[in-house]
Amino acid sequence: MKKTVITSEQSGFFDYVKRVWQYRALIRVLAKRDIKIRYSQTALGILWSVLQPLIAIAIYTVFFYYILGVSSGKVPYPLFVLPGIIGWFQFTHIINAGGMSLLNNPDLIRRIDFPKLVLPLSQVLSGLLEVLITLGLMLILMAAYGYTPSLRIAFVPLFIMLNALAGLSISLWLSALTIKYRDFHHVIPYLISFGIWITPVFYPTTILPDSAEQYMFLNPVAVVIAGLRWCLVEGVAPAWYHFAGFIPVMALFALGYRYFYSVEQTIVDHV
Amino acid sequence: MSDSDVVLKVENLSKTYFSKLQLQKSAKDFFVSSFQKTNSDEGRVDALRDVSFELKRGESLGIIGPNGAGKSTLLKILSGVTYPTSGKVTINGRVLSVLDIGTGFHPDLTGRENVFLNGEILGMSRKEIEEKYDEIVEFSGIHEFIDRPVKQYSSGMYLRLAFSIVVSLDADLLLFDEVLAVGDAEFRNKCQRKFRSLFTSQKSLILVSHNMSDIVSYCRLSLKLNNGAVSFLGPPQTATTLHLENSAFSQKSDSIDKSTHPEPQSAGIKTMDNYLVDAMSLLPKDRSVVQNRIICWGPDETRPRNKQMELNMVSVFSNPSSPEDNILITDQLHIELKGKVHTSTNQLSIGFQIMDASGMPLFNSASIGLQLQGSTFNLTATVPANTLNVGLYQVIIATLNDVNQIIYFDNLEPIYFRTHVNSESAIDKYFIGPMRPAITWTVNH
Repeated sequence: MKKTVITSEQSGFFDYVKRVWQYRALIRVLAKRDIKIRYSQTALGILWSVLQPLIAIAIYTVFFYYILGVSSGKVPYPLFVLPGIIGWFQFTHIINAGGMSLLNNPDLIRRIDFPKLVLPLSQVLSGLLEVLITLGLMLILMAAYGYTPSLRIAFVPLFIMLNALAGLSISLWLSALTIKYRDFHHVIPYLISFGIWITPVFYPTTILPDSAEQYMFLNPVAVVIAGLRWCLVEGVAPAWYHFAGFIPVMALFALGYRYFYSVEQTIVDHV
Repeated sequence: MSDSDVVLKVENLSKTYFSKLQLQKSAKDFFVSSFQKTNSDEGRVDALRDVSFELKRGESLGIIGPNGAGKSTLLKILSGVTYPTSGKVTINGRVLSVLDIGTGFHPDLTGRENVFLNGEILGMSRKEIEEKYDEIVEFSGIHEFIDRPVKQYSSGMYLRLAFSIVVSLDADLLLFDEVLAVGDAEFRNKCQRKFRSLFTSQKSLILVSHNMSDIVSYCRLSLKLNNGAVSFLGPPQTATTLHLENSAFSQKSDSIDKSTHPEPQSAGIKTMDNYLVDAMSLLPKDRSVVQNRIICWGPDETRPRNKQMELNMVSVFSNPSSPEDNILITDQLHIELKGKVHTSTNQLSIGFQIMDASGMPLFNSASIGLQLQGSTFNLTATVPANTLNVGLYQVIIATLNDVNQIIYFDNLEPIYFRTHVNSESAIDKYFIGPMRPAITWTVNH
């Protein structure tokens, strides 16, 4: 017989992690709901997840490659830019949907008892579908250009996970802050629209002056994108010091988790 | 009693809100408040104060109380959605809390998709839902629309589907917040049958409702909250009467509410006995002469009137020699009416309608066939003994004209009266509903 005790004392860190694990089915359910909603009632349905990166490739290629003459080295520009798109789309999906996940689900928060970390986590999970589809698109495109994937492709999941961690760290902060101070709701679009300029999505880091290039990698998404390029097409392997960008991510994650947890205790009274 | 017999134990539960925190919504306040520590009691709301009770397996509890009494807060704590400030709740078994039906429903998804989604959100496994799926759809009765997006549903269909999921779920303790009033009469009957079957299978239920008939028909026990404290715990008949009495005379009830920890029952009963005085004292003094259960209007006062007639006295009484002039359910009930007729229409009658305290009509009668012509009338209507149950009732007086239209009086409020039994015994608590006819039982040979 299950026994539940409710008191004013809240569960500690490890109990909370255990609780999130117990609710893994809910993470899956909410991710599935999210995906279904995203493509329901659209004529093209899931095709959109292929069209969006294709359109992005077309625009970036025309604008940066043909008009501005950004060089992608030996790699054809579309193959160069797609890993950037994969990384950036995944990251922005997590901070956008994850950052709004508490605010967007007041009915669940007010009426169902579950660890609220489930909400941003379900957005991480639902974002993986687009990542997988775009990776498939990448393989097709590589075949079209006559590229054979090397064994380095085995490292792709690592970079996708790092990207998810970076996105989750920020969305923990954004989602918790947005609940208490709606001001942060306005921050997210700025993060996304300005963030792309300091992330090597459509340009290689080599076009930067050497002194600036190393600072670029303080941006964790820059590490992820460089890593994806290295895995999928030729590129410079990320050096160990590139991962330095993940030290602030880990700090953001740890502190963000604590803040999120403290907000969660009173969240019902706020949403 | 072994521990597993108790499905829910609530001990000294309290919850305090500080509305100050809720106001702190902008970043500016965030920075300002980091420098100013606010420790004042300003904006402090005690939503629950020292609430304790126990629920055994197979028991059902209805929670009532005026808005803001802490009913929903209590349910939210029991379902784990929010935490108490102090106190302890122990639940033995699986809880299913339905604070709202259709939680997580999305209008763009089909009925089928929403059934699975909602079920899984409520904590069922996929396998469980698959097993119950046919039962859910069957119960909802919207088979042909199940693969359409729920935004195309009528609101009734939507609620029926959502409710069907909830009632098919399996749990030891079910918590419901104001969700029973869905669907048409047929669907409600289905739900009632379903709920009754829950009790026979040793499931426990906690129900928060404003609909007193739900509480009376589903719950064996009821708990009344007032300003966050338990003011009554006992049979639902008594509690609902108390609740309605307080809301009928809300000005009066404030003073009752403020006695924070009244002894269960005794405090409530006292107000019930004094109800009539309360009711009468609420009538505007300048309008009527109040004498016990008799309301008279002098010639200079605004008498209740309509086009056909006017009243100068209404009296509700039973055997005048009964102790303290109580209306006993074992006595006949008399309604005496005096007044004047203005028109010379032949077929005119005066009548009354008896309603329970919540306003549900029970029966009516009119002086059909009696000649009311001439200028004044003096009539007495007699309701047979053993008709009403113990409780609070209201009576409305109206005129029935020649084409059987009911015409109400201006300046006449419903008149409240309370019925009693001579000596209250334990058995009196088991008579449910507003009516209590004397039923005879015979042994067949």
